[in-house]
Amino acid sequence: MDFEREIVQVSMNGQGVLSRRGFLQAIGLGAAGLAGAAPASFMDLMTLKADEIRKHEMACILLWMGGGPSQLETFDPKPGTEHGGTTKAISTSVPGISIAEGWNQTAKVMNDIALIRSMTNKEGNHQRATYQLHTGYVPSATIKHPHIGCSAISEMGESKFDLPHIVSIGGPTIGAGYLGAALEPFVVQNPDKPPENTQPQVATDRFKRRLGLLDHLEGAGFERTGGGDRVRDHRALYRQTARMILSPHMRAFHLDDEPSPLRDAYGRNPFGQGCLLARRLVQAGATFVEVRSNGWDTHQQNNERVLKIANQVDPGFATLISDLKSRGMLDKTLVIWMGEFGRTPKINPSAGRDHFPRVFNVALAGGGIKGGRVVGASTADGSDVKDNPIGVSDLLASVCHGLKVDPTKENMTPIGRPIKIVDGGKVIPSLFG
Amino acid sequence: MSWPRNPRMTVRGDRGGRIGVMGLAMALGLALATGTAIARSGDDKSPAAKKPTVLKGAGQGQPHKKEAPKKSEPEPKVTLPARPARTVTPPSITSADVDRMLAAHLKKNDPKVEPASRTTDVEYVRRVYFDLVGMPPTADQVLFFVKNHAKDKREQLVDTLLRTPEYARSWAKYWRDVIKFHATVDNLGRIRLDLFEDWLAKQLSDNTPWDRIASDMITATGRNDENGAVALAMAHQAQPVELAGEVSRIFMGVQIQCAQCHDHKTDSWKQRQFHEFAAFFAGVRERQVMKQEPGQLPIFAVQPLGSRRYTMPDKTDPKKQIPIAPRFFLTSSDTAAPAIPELTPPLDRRALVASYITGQDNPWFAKAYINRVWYVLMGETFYEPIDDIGPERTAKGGEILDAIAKDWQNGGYDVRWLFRLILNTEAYQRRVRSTANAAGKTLFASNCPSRMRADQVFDALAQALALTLDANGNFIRPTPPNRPGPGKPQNPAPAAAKIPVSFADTKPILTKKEAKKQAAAAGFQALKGKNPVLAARLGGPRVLFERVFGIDPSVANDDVTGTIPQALYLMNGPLVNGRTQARPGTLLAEILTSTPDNRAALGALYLRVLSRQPTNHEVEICGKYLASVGNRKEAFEDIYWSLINTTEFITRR
Repeated sequence: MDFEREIVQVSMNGQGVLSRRGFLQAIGLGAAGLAGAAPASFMDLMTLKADEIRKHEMACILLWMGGGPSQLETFDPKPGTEHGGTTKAISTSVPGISIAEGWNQTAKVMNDIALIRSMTNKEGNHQRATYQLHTGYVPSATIKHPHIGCSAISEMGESKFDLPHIVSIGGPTIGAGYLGAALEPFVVQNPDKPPENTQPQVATDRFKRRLGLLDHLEGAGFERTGGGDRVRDHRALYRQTARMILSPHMRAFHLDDEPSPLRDAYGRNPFGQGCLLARRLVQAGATFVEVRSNGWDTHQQNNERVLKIANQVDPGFATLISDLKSRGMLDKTLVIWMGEFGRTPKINPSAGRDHFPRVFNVALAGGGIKGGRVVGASTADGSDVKDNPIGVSDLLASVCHGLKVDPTKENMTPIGRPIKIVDGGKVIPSLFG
Repeated sequence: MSWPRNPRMTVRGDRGGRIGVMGLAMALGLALATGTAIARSGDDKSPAAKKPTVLKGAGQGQPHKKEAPKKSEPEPKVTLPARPARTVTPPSITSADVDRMLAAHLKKNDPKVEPASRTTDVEYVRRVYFDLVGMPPTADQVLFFVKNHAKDKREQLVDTLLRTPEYARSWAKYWRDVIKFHATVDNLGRIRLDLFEDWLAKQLSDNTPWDRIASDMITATGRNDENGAVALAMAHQAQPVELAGEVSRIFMGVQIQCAQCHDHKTDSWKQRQFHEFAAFFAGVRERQVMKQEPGQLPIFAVQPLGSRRYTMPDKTDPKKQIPIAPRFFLTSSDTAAPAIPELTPPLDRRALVASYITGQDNPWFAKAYINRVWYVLMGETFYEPIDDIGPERTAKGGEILDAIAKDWQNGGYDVRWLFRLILNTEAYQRRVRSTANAAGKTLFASNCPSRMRADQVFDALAQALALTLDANGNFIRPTPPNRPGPGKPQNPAPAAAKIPVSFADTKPILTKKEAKKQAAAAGFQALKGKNPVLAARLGGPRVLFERVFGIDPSVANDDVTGTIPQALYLMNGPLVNGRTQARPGTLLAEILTSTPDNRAALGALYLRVLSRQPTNHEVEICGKYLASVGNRKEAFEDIYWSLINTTEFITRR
């Protein structure tokens, strides 16, 4: 029984490749995936090429505006009209495209952004619409549909990346549904801190030693008394989790590694820093990162409140695009800015705007999107779509297209019901052509 | 005949760690007096005699109005179809009969496979405690059971556990999860699933027949703080389409809602049949009847609206709606159920559909329940997945299910009787097998392990880490080091008095600081953006724990895979790491101080965490580990941590 020797080895040689390999072998990981785990710098690891780790090339960052952002105070202003209220429009880097005041940084990168001003839907309830915009389906008691990001990573196949492939920053999002727990988005509450429970509570050497002991006890215990299947699954999960905990890629969560001016440019607030973390995660090999902004449900004092949130979202959104671009990552990273619906053109007595799924807007950049253009339009008073109505399925089919995933692919639910990734919907050619 | 009580099952308090140490020695074969281990066994008052089956009317026969709906227009006079009266014929099938049928099935289908051997007492006692009361046996409960030489001690234990409030509570939690994981409402908090749990626990405690429980849930109206049974309707905001789908899924196992938008692709259900069924649920709405006050929750009610026509969308013209009269889609006879007048008052419609669903002329109601409970107890069952059964599916061993269902149905749906029937079979008492060989894959040849529900894992953690729980099942603080021994009376932890006894108590009792501390101690940040006092009362560590460990009980065992946050919680969470340290006040410190012998100390830990003794192989591994680490305290901390992170700890076996 070599167990004792292995344990001692691992515990004695804490640092360095050999010990780590010994440990990995001891707990059955093999040397796969973690070649060169010596104290290489994070940026060195970055150059290990995320593409190679990811295998496929595309990634996606979803900026989620929870509560339903007002189209009139974001990217479809109607200054000088009754419904437009007091919101002014500002010009952008693209002649002919104006957006609402408060989005000055975004205006500068408009040549990379495509706006859809003719989004239309029927669902005006936060929860239901949030579910629909994330999954392409309305909620149902029988089937939990997967987050479009989960469907995407499921299609993109195996990857060597040792952190979760889909991450939600700033709170939980829609889950993996019938695709199963393995594809569940990993939630990071606060981008400034490493995620909950990812730091071992004992020294790394001792942590590894514990894992070795655990593995031996599993083998000597339940595995031999009928628990073989369960132990196998549990071991796989623990391997994956241990790999994550000990991964050099966990360095991606250390935003302090970034130069201070860049951190400032993203905005020193949870959303801005979340965008920066999203870039670092994609750079390290993550496929889908959602960054959540809340507070868009502006039933009262719409303009003041939107301006306040825009103050945080504008620098994060714009800096993310320019940062990705300067690193040559924008072509392969689709950035989506959207919420669950828009807001009523008519201003209510509390100077607010209410839920309005009939017309809303979405902004897209990167991932093959042709920037500097506007798709569709709302009517002059903003109460309806004027031309080129785009449904939720059209939008998500286009997202799939951008990520090189076939939206018509059918997955089987646990009760054997085939469900397409996106039900119906047409890719919007003008976004890409 | 009585059993040692789990202190947590009756009073708030700790479990005797010292007993575990002594018991370990015994289980290791050392002759040690264990008298104190069973000294407290006299407090159980459960009657040995079987209570006669409760046979209350279950809303069968002609539906009656529960309350007059408020209305401005006169209710039309409608004639509803007569329903057969409910009759009760005491069941005759026995556990031995079930075993004989299982043996015949096995002989016919897999003649070469030998069924797994009988569980040892130690294996059995952990299984039956988790299955019936949702928590592991304490060390003294394990030892008492093992030491007991009565021939029928297993049957006796089943009977005893079925009479505990924890049995009712644990199964109420199970059904709460069945509803919760399919809820379509935007805010789960407003359903008051805690009050549903109270309501159902009361029903199970009274052994209310299953048809009565189901009818009450299907027809429930009123305020959510007064009638816990409205939870199912509230989970779907009383929307006919969602509610109809869920009622069919939960109570009959039939997934007819797939036919909502088009005729069923694989089954013969037609879209129209689904809407005819949904029409039974029209005319009732959910309304807020009291606004949210500071520190309280808003109150909602499910109310009848008066007569309403139900319509379904016209496939050919999306702007048109077709009026639909209620009609039940699932009948045992060849003739279709009659259509009910379109304007039948809503409460009559619900009473009628409850009668159709739970009636003794609908075999699927009994089969769905038995198939589901069997799955929990055996880890495999006749129809899988458990909520996709019905006349369009083929069962394995269907003749066995049919026979049990017939007797149970005719016997008036006695919930405890069914538990006894299944739990007292040899099949239930077989050991688990892995699917590494053909025998492990053979249906009905062994019991199958499954991942425990969040509540069970939480209670297992509380026992393993010696945490004291309050009345809501949240832990209060670590057990004080000098706690009373098991022979002495147990006092409720002093801090318990400060914790609200039930959610109905709306005074904020926890300070913000305490609430935050509770949440943080469980390894969570306080609920974001919410009043932490309210958050702790709505949740507390147990509910927060459920967010990480919760699983939909309708999902197949094989599809339940662990998640990274679960592994992270057990590996690195402050709760597990803090409480597995050998520092003053922890269980481990006490064991190490009182038990100089390493092997005995190891046995105490195994008994605490896994309700069993280590095998020789495990003792050898841990011995070598101790030697290699060279620090007794550290090595034991590592062993303790490892045991809590094993597969076995979170698995029912």
